[in-house]
Amino acid sequence: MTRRVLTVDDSPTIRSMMDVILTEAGYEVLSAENGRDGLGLLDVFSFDLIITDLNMHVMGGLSFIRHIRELKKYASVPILVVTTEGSEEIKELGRSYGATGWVTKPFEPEKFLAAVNRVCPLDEPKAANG
Amino acid sequence: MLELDQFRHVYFQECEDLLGSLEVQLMALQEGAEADDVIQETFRAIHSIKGGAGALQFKRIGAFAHNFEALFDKIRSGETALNPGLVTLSLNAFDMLADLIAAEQSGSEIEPGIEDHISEALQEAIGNQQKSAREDRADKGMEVSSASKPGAQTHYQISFRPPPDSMQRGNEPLYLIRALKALGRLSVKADLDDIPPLEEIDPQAVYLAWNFELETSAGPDAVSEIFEFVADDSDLSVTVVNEADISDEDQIAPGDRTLDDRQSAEEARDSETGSGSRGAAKSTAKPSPDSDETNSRYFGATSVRVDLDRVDRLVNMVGELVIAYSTVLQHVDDRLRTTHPQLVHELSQFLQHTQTLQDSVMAIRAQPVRSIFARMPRLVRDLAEKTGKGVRLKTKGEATEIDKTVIEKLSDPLVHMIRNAVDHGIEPLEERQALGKPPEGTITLSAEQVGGRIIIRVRDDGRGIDRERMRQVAVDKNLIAPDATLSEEEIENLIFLPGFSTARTVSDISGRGVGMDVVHQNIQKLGGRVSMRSEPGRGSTITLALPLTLAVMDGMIVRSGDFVYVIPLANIIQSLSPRPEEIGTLPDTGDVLRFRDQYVKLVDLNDAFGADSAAANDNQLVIIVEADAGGVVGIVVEEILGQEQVVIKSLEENFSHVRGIAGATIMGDGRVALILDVTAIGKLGSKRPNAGAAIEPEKAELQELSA
Repeated sequence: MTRRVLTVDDSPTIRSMMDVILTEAGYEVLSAENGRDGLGLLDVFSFDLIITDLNMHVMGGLSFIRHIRELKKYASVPILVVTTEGSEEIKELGRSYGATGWVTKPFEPEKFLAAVNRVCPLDEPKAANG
Repeated sequence: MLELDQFRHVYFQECEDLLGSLEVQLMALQEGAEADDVIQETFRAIHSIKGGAGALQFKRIGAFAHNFEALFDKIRSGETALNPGLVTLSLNAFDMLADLIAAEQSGSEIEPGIEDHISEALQEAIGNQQKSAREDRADKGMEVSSASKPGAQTHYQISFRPPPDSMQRGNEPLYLIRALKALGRLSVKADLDDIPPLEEIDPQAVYLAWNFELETSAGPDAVSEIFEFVADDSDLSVTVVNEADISDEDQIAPGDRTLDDRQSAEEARDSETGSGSRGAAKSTAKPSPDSDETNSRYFGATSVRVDLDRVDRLVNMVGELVIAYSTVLQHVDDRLRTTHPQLVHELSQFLQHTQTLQDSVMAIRAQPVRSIFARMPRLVRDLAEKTGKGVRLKTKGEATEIDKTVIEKLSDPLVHMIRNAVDHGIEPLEERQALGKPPEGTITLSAEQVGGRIIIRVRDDGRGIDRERMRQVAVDKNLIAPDATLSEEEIENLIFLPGFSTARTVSDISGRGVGMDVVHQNIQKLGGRVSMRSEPGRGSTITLALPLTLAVMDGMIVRSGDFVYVIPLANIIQSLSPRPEEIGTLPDTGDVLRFRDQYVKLVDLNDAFGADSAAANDNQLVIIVEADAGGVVGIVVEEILGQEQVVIKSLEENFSHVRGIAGATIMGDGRVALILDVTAIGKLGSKRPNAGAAIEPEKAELQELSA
């Protein structure tokens, strides 16, 4: 079963890194450079996981997360926010808006995938009640 | 392991964009903008540069950007107030950052510690030495990971009760249990006590709690990490019940073996910065080793970055396709039209598709001029500082799109034109005030598309051109005859003649031995035209007219003597065959033709290029073209062969520059034709006494070329 991930970050470098790490691990990845474009993709495709940066130009991560949670289809989809190491307030802020967890920049592929795997594992189908 | 090299290209491309944007924001701050979004945008750009540098382990860029970012973090939070000193510091920091990035990109050495004084100034500006905060945290993280002993088995007892709304925010306890299981041997016992009666059950809620027994070689940090996202909201305890195999007593302090949820949360945070918990990660998902096909690939929602080389290859191939098509077309004659009408019809379809393809490919190369316009505010600021003049730059039409190659080659001429405007155009402050002008000079840089051309203008409101002096200089330098009659416009455009420079002293700014003739040459190479108009006391305007694309051009194919030439269609006003009595002779100009109430100079291509004049043809044709600065010239040819789209090939890789020739092309029948530079054509055999001499050496080359 393919797991499709949406990565949203305004930095092409970070986007392409997430893309390569996730794609090599076996995820299907689509990217957007801001929340608005992200919402556009969410509407067209279905995603099993959303990874988003917070500080973005057109629609920032927090309002992006708020919008996602308002969509019935994504009310309980896991959302990870991209944070810089050690920014506790960002993690808290993200959670208060409905984020599931976080991944930390700079990416260590193993830690990054471990975090992804905890909310959206590849190997087995999602539980029926999820 | 992730191959970081594959992201270098993306990162440096991103940096280019970010630095451009950063510069614009800093310039806005310089001009007194204090809007939140400007500061926010500045912060964001630095933040992204830092983020990428961290990801790619460009430590020096990262460390420097960190200090830079810290300043704007304080500014945006209002803790530090922006002042002119900080803007200057930021501009210096910007330059430093750009240098560090350029050095990293080119792999060149940059003096160690050269950025230190700016870093220190940045730290001072926010009033502390806060380098330690990050490192402290990192150190702590390292301690945690080094304390874990991957080889030894540890027995954990874990009790976990997630919050009831866990699943609603995407945390599926099942996945956490699976991740635990991946660490080692796991036994699970579910606590069902809190399950309410059926009628009260909310299907979205979690009512279960679990007790786990885990036997693993992973350290406590790896275990805590699994609960990282839920630790704060859950009832969680992780207890080590058996540490027989752990030799170091400092693994977990005696008497503190139960990590309550508070602590484990701390632990989780700390471990984030360290490099521990590999064991946990390895068991979950392995990156596949064959990474070739995913190399340097990424999806953009609306755009894709493509290496310019690839686009160029495409452009070249389309160019060849156009040539091939022309070759095929040579074989279409009336006989074929009757015998194979269907084939001829298909060919015309083929033509349409080829043209569409060509247009589409050209559109790929089009870029907004914004990228070069964005560099100019900084230039103007620096120049203004150096000259002590007050100058502001206005830009218009940044979104105008133009071929990437043109854009690249446009930068230097633009820089030169703006330098010239600041240095020679804009008057010093006192002079402006004495004249009752606003003390601050204005330079306006604009771009617009007019028909098939892009018009770029640099306008200043300075002193304009001193025509008398221009004329005198030109006479002194033997560029024009002392008694030559020149229109105002012609005098102004003398500035573009090679060797012309009116600067009395060689200034640091524009008098570097190159004059506006360099601008002229460069623009001409792009198939464009330059012209200068000036109002004394009110300023000057230099206008560049550039083609949309460089690679292909619509041309009229003409023959003169044994040579075939291409005249750019864009320059052609009219072609006519005059009666002999319509052609007259003026003493200075030579043959002229009366056209639309003015006398138009005639240039015979055979004479101009020193080709052997075939027996003078009575029914000569004249192609009226628009030459320099709206001037008009008649080109005398013997025959018009047709109209064709030609692919421009540069001659200058193999031959030195021939005045009047812009390039060459290969015709459908395989012959080489020379593309005329109509801008320069009018100057062949012009009033300049040395013009004739200048052509001499070029004759030889032309002969050689046609051989």
